[in-house]
Amino acid sequence: MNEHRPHRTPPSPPGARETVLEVENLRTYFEVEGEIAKAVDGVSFEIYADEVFGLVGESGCGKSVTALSVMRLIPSPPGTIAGGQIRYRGRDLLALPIREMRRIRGDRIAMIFQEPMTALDPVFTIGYQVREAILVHRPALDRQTAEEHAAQMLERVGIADARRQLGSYPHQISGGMRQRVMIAMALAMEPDLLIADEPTTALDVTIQAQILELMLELRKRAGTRGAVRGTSPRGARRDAASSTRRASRLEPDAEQDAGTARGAGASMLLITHDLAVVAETCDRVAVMYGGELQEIAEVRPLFQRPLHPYTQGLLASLPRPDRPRRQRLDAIPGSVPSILELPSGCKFVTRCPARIPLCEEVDPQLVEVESGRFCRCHVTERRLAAGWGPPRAFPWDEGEVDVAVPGGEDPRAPTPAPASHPEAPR
Amino acid sequence: MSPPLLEVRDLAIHYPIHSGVLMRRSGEVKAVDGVSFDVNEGETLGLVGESGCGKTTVAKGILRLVEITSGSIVFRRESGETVDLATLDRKAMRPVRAEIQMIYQDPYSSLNPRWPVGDIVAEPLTVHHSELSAAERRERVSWLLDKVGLSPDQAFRYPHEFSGGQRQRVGIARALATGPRLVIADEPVSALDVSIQAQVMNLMQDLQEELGLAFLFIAHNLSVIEHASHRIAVMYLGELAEVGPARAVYQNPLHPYTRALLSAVPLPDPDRRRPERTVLEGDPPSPRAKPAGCPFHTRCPLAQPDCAENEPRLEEGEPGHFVACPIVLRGHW
Repeated sequence: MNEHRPHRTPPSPPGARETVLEVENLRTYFEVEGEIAKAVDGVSFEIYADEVFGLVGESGCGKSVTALSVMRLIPSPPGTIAGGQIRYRGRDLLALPIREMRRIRGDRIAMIFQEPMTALDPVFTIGYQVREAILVHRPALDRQTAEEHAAQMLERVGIADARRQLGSYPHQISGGMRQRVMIAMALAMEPDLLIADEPTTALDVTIQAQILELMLELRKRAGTRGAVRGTSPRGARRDAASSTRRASRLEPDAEQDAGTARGAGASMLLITHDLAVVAETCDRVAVMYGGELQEIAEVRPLFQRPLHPYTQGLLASLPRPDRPRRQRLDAIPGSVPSILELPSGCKFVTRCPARIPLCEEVDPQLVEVESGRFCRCHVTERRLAAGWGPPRAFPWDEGEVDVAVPGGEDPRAPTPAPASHPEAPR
Repeated sequence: MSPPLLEVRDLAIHYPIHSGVLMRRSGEVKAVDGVSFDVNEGETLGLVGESGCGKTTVAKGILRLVEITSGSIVFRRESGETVDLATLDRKAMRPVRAEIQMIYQDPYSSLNPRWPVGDIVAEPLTVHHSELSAAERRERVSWLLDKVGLSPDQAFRYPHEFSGGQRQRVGIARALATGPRLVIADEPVSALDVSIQAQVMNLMQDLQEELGLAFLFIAHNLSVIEHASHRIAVMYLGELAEVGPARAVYQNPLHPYTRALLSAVPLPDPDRRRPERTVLEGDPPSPRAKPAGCPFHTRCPLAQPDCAENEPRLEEGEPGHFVACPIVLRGHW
């Protein structure tokens, strides 16, 4: 426990860091049977250069919709981005004409999806698909150069015998291999923001370990403009020739990129439901519930001292090998409410053991309760303001539950039903 | 100690592969290939492995939902009589099914959407306890719904009116209807959200303690398996690599595959990121083209030339802890 491994990116004052993506008050709504489902409702966060930012939450919390909004891939109808701004390196993506957006999508901001079987087209070879992804963004490249680059990308992501595999169809390769192909396609343009939506959820644990390792390792090397960015076929061919000298074409090419070189690596938005994946890969984390961010923190403080009752509940729910076996898990009572039936006030109020009457009336705001730590909870806010510690709504570690509120004027609202007597039917 | 509730010995389930215009038999998939284990009364045996390793096929074999190629499955019935499920015919198998029930992974597709949940839970009773009157059946259904944390007046609602966690509770109630002694749970929590997963795992544990159930708990999630099980069996390509008490398997994994599997599990603790994890190269081979000898030798860091020839057998490495790896056994003991 005391053997601290240093953070990949040491925390520094936010002002000093280069911001890649800023999402401000994003609201993405869907019309469902005449009702408005607020899938994402006022989400704000930033992703800095060279950072892995985790967005974690349970199914239906709005994390994938947030990612699709950034890519402007929300199907409309029924979805609309009802408000907010998404700025990529200062440019508001929501205001861009669709042609401009297409140029950014897949090139500067790339995305990896959960299910690599459905994300790849079954009737084309993987070589064709990777090559097309390159040619869309570099139409001036000739086909052979693009093919060459595709082969190198497949090699980079650890596909053995990459050149032969170019001729394979998606169904001929394993799930882990398909996800590697997706990563190769996403990284082919050296994006400086990679959005990965549950990239390892469909994979076995040993394959998950391979893919996570690969993404983190490639991310370090991506983000600087590499060879294929040269738009003239001549330039690209020169690079193809020199690529044997360099280990890979994604490494910095100082001569060519003096003016455009960025930081050491690409940023990543990693979307997952798996807190363990977050703990292993992310620098900062946002916890999402009911279409809102509930807490934002650097990864270590988040796991050591979660401030929001929901984060505490998630951690307490996890079976983990370092805990006594077969001890009862501290499950969060009730179930995730449908986004059509979110409570007024705090979205977590129906399941929260720390709730006070105020929580049902007033929606709390996401406020910076400590330096670099944002939390959306009346109880946490009040306790910290009074110099108390954060509440302990669920015992995620050895401590006792403590949800008292300073001032004492609030009698605790009746606690929700215990886990063994769950929710009423929807 | 009483004899085990279930004794599986050398279970093999091979599926034929047919190909060509005439669909001639051209080979076989050795989905389960010589698997032996026991499940004791009131115990949870966790069966863990990656997709395609044959763990679900083992479950189907025990329930005789697939044809068994060879081996024996000796089950001790409530009456004390022992039967070999592998040799029973359909008719003789039927009463045994009341004592062995199953919980499925997907709480959406495993419940009939057109039936109220009360009828879903009652169905095993109509099949196995036709002597019960309608009133008795209703009473039993109410009791079951209450046991799994649902309210008896929810019996008239349909599956779509329930959340995923509640539907899984319905599936558990249905499995318990006939009063089984062995429940096979195939990935019972993997389709559920983290917070709901914990509720269902707690429920299964409570029911086990109250009703003295034995579980064969099948999952790919090692943290879930470790939490839920008394003993663990690790499966790879149709064979067991290691069997032992949960604590021993986790704290002192003997088989190189178990070690790699455990080191691949991410932990929810940023201070314990593992820089030097053993990442296995490549994918597991297809069970159609299973390697000769030890099935793991193509990816094994300890592999020796003779691993490709000699098929390892499970041997006791330490008391109660079995491993199918002669190299570990030789070096370790």
